[in-house]
Amino acid sequence: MFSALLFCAFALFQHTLHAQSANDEQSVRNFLNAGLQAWYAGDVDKAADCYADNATVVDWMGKQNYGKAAIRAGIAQMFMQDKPTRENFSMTVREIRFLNPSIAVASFDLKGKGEMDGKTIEWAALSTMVLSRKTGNWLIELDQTTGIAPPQGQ
Amino acid sequence: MKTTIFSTLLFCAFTLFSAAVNAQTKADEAALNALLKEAYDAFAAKDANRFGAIFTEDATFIPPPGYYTKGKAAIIASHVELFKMDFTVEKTEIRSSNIRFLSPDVALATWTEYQEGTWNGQAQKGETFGSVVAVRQNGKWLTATCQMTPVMN
Repeated sequence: MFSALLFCAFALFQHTLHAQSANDEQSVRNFLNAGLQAWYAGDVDKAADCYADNATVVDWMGKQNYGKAAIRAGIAQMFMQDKPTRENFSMTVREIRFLNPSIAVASFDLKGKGEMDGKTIEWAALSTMVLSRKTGNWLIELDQTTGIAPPQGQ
Repeated sequence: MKTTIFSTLLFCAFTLFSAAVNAQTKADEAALNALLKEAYDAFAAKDANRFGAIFTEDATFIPPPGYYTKGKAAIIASHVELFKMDFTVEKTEIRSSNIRFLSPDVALATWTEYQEGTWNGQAQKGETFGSVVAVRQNGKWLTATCQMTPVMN
């Protein structure tokens, strides 16, 4: 009898843990989606508000911006030059991993199209975001992108 | 009088606590720097198992050419193949580095490196931005995720 009760308690505990984990993952997905929509809307302030005050952003060319003010300026400049749209930019979550309940690592596949020297080029990249939950809200601590090199011979 | 003694004791306790925290942080920073050094040393020695030992079982690794490797075993396997290739690392300079603790057991290390070497006999040089998210497991710092991005000047 006692073993059965213990098993039920354990099963309930496991279920709660998984539910918590699924809720947490959904909260990260919601946060990332809200950020993406801010990009599509060209909303510099909303896009910049996704980042922690001392965050680091590294783009696919290795250009680094440190701190929210520099990141905001970088986003504003990019939106003026080549604003992401649903047609020219996509972000697909590959994996969300929790290092503890307040720190998550999200991996993405990025794909896009852009103009270079009068030609349309298509590009692909891998991105990692390190997120921390502060006062209940997720914020990006690191946002790093690495371009996928074309196969040799191309 | 009682208030003064209590305040003094509280101040001493706080000072001691701060000193302990700082000492702990310094020890953790030293351990994290050792972890990164081990990664570079293992890579230069072309020792895939030694290189893989710095990662957690479920780690992810994105190297400069931009491919995604998941899990320590896959990271080791990809480096066994990489280390069969004709390349050398002749010079590595860490030009800037930063370690930030996101929690007592999770740290974010970022740095830029400049390397010179050869690839298929051809001289190569360049700068790369690197990041590691390290986690403390059973008292030991290990790499949970590592990503490298070439810096195009």
